Amino acid sequence: MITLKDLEFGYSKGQKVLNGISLHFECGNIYGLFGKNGEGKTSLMKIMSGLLYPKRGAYSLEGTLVSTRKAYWLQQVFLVPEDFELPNIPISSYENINAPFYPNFSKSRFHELIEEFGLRPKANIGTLSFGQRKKVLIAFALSTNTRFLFMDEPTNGLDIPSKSQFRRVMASVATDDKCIVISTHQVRDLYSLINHVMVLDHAKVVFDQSLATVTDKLWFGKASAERKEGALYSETGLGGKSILPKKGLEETEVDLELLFQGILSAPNQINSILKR
Amino acid sequence: MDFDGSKPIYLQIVDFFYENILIREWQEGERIPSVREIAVLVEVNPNTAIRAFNHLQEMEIIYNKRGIGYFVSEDGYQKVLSIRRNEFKEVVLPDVFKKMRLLDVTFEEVKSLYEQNLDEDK
Amino acid sequence: MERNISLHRVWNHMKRDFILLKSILLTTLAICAVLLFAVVQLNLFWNKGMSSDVYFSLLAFLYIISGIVLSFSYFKEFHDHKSNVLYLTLPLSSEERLIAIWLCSTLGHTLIFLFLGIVFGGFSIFFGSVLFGAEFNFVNLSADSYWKMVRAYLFILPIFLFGAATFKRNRRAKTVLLVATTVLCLVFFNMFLFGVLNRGMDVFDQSGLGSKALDLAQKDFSGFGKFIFMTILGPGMLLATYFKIREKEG
Repeated sequence: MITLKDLEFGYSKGQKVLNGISLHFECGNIYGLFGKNGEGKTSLMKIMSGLLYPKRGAYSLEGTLVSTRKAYWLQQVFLVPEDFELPNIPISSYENINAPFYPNFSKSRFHELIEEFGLRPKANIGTLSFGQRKKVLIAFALSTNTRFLFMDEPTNGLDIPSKSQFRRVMASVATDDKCIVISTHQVRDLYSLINHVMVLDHAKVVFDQSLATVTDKLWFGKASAERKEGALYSETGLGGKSILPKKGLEETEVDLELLFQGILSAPNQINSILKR
Repeated sequence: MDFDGSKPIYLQIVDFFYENILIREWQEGERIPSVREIAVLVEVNPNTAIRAFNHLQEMEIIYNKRGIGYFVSEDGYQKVLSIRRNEFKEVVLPDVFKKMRLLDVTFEEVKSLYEQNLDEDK
Repeated sequence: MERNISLHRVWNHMKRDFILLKSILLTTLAICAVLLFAVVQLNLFWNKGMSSDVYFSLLAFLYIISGIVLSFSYFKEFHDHKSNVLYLTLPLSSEERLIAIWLCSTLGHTLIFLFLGIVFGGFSIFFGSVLFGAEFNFVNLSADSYWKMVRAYLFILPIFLFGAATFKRNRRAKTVLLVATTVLCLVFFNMFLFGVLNRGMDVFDQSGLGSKALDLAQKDFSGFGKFIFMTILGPGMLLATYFKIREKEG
């Protein structure tokens, strides 16, 4: 369990990237962290993995307040960054030098995943493409068995079959004792995995709801003209979809892209319906 | 699995179960894949898969043997069949009738097309 | 709460550094070995013998310079913004990172040079002596001169570790500049102390005494100057490096 309280962060004076962020993450969920580019998703994940220190506010992990990087809590956390570099050594050497730091590392899972991703353990990482290197890192991340797993744009650089592979693998590792946070703007790639949505905008949390609540309270789809009158948000153009209060309507799948657009343009209307 | 945009994913997983039971891929009393296996197969959050399992359990189409797994109920096939028949009568047919009237297709035409189709399948 | 320092993790960090820096470590070592061998042969050829002093200044030179060069390599991953994300999130405390790097660059480096200086150096001398018919004398590996060299290295290194941890670009040049400035400051500080202690002599009026003071200050690091050098530049710089590691953001 992770609790963030009134977190504040900025790179230079006056410019706040995160302002008064209070969030709560529970195990057994896959959180989707959305926001336009530069709205602090990466900074938030870096704070949660100890790479950045917040200017103000508290961050606690499993009830313990954390500040500087300490081995005991870093063992529980893994961050798959969007942009990274791996050393030019064979995949198996990479595993050998980094795995000992993670007490629950599963060697067999790592080899299974490497094989599933179509890689050879003896291959030198320096000879791999960006997408393949990303797979090496994802395989490593999932094998560390850390309780908290943060992934920043994990499907960036993956081709279409690999994205499907990624979803399968994520579905297999998401257990009740794991808390997974995925930041992305490629909603289509991951919508079937996520069960809780958080949206950052203008350095603040503008949305924080489980998808079960969203399905209960909102209706997504192409609405008839008269229904469209009461829409919370409607796309413009032919065949534009709308978000309506569900009331007596049939249950629909949450259209994450539509929801995201709706939250950015009419956060108050949508939030007030969900909080009722 | 490709998801259709409008129906909740868990209900689409339920449909996937119905399909497998109707084509007798999963027989009565037979063990079916676990929640995790289904989640991996259809690439969804395990919580969504659990929701589909719960829904099927409430309908008494599947049942859970603790520590062993999920099984198709003895009358699972009959239940799915009646659910699907109702769906066909209440959802699909009214839509077809509506189109028939709109396009001025007579019942006799449909009947002969149906018999033709039956012959082709033989 | 778990312990902040685990020897097991420190050891894993050292192993990790060795694998990641294998090629630069081996290259540096090879260059040192070749230089040592060549200079020993030249000496034996021209002088038909080699004094212990000459041999040890050569070894000390290689030992200290290569140690300083390598100390910067240990912080390469630390500064690179694309790889430090993964390095800094590795489950290690800042204490463990510093201890691992310090052990690699002191203990590891010294052990390797012990081998290079005695076994390989001994072999070089033996080889040259036979080849050039030089006076057949083994270098006197007296513990004293060896430990003097190690001691000097141990106190110089933290300054460079600090420089390596602090500066992002042009780390070596900036550190050398830092060291030069520090030494200069110390010299002037010593001179000033000399002046204060010998106030009656009007140090600052008579140019003769002033330069004498400068001379003395340069030569004599004993007393107060040495104390400052040992405490501030040794452990102090290590402590400063620790804070640099701790505060580093990726």
